[in-house]
Amino acid sequence: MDNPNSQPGLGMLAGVGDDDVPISGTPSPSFDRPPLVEVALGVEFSPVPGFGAVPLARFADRLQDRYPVVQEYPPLPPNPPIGVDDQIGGGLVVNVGAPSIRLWLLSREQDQLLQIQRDRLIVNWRAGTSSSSYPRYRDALRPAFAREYQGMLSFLMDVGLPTSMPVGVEVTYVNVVAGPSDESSDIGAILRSQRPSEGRLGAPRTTRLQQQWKWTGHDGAASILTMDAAQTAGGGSAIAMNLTARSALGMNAGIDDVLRSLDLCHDEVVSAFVELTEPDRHLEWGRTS
Amino acid sequence: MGVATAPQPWPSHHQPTKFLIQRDTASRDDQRQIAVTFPPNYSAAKLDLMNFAVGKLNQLLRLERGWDGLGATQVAETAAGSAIRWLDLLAEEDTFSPQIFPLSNGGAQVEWLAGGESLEIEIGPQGDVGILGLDAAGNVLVEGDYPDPHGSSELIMAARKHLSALSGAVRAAGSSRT
Repeated sequence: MDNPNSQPGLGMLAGVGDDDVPISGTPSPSFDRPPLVEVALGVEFSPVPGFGAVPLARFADRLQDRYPVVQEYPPLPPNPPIGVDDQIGGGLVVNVGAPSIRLWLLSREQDQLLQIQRDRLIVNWRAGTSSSSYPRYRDALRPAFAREYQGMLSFLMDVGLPTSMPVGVEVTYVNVVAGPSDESSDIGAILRSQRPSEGRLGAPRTTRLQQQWKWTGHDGAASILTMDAAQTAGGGSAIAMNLTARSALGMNAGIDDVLRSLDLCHDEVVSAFVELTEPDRHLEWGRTS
Repeated sequence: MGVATAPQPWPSHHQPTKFLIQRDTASRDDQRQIAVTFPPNYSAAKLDLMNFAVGKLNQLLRLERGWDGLGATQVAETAAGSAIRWLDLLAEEDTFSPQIFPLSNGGAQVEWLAGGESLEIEIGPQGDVGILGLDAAGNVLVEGDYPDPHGSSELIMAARKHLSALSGAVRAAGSSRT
């Protein structure tokens, strides 16, 4: 979905240098008009003791030029180790010390979001009300992630908190394909695997689908790709399709390992999007490579 | 899968909608504790085990520095939290209560012993984990670390299987006595 000819839509994300870690992987397929509504790039680490509400608020103060809007949310639970079935373990939430929080740090236009909590940093781009187009992974989102992650590590050091131990990265692309006015908005017209039955049943009234694939990440890391797709009101309604790639990290992973894993997760998501969706729609979305 | 903010048409698998909160009362000006939120459908039998472990770990968190008389580090909250998460991953409804004790480096150890067989989870102060399972002859049945870039699913499945066998042996020994 990266278009090398397009300009970053968000000036504040452009020009951020992360030249120390060259972008890994091969050039991704690219679309002029991808049906993206949100991208999330995240790193999960072991909970940093003491990184509670007060230090998080101080961290937010440090970034208020870029993210002037701050909102408070309950923390995201930790991801299960990669490859472990969601049904194993009871989905419990463990709080250490004072109850933990997650901060949303939002840009003025609210299309850029930094989510930060004791064990997670996530950089989101959201289409939302912004008139800007998808700012592209290589041009803007990856540099923004690198900057904010490095900034968090520096902050932890500055305030005397322990260093974090990254355990995994994840990349999520949220696509909303078609809409009420689209005549071909049946999920079978979008996903190759969901062509409707030619028999009595015809097109399904609703569809909820989750598929997972194993893949190999940076340095042979265990990794998983998940696709969630749903069309809740049958043909004519929007089709939501999330693609999430997660990859494990080793005990001594540094920021370069995090970025390389992130690159491969991104490439996996984009390649999967192309492989899973109908080529006819690629033309509509302006595939350029 | 949780990190995105766009409205989703499917329910989240990770966000409980209703909480039963188990929180130790802080009896001192001491914030060093873990609190666990269980989803509403959590197994009652496993809840007893988990509550036992939360209570025990909160006791360990209150140990002062040098608790061993030799300058041992206080047990890290991250280690205690990791112990609970791994116990949840490995234990089943009929798992018997483990021994839980502090390590001098700020970590904790969770250990089951039955008929000469054992399963040990050694948790480091940063929450990293080493697992070792032995049979009665001392042969290694399960061994591995977390985080591991090559994945932890096989380690977890092997540890669950071994722990299930240990629990079965304890159950069988109990019923043979009655």
